[in-house]
Amino acid sequence: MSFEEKSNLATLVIVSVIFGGYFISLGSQAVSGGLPADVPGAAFGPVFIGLSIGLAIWMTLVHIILGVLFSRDAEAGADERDRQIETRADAGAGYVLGAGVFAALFMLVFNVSGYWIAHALLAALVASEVYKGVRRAILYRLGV
Amino acid sequence: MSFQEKSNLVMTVIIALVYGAYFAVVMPPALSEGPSMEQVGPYLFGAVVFLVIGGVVAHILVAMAAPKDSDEADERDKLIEMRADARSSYVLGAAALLALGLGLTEQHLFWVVHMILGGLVASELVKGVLRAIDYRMGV
Repeated sequence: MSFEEKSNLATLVIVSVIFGGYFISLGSQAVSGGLPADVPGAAFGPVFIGLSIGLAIWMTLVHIILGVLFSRDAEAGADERDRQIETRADAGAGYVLGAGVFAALFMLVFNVSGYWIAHALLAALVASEVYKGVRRAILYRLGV
Repeated sequence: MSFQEKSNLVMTVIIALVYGAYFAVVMPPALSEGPSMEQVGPYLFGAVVFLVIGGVVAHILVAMAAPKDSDEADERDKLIEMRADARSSYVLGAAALLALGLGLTEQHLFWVVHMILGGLVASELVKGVLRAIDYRMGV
């Protein structure tokens, strides 16, 4: 297993756990009526910054550990196969992101608050990253 | 020049013209008098109509000019499209992040909508230009 493949799997797990956990807790709050429909967008600001910092810290930590454990693989860098797999996954993820962005644009028709628009855009970005990670993992195992 | 290359060039030019005109009409009043979604509705609808009609007419003309060209993409066309899709998705991602920031800071709906729209248009233009470069310079 190349360093790029390990890095992809680690990134996929971290993004899924951090943002999956956040969206599950948000969904349960919304269902239980803990969130009014007109929450101001600014209320999401500190949470978004916290999520971003948490993501950055975990990504750095895990990649340092991977780099130390598999230093030879890490030094080798990405080869032609890695680049091809990344391009294929990026291309598909672009369509997922595009669909999510269109969905956010459609939500604006219903005059929802900036809080929910920001969440729709974040969900689109997370979905495209998860798609990219899953696609890369599949291509690494099944071949391109 | 393949049908796919001609189609790409035509659509890139049409998108640039239609949305270039749209933003040139919509942005100056929004900046001087303040944003208003009610005023841009007809222009937004008009831009989509022009884009669809322009795309259909241009593709009919391209097909009539060279009817023997196959409209089926070959392996090279697919590779060029995939490379351009992959790179242009970063432009859309950056625009989505900026729109997210506008939503967080409670900016007017107009700016959020136009950041998203601008991102979609910019990513399509980047894709078109990258495809045009790959077709001419090789992959």
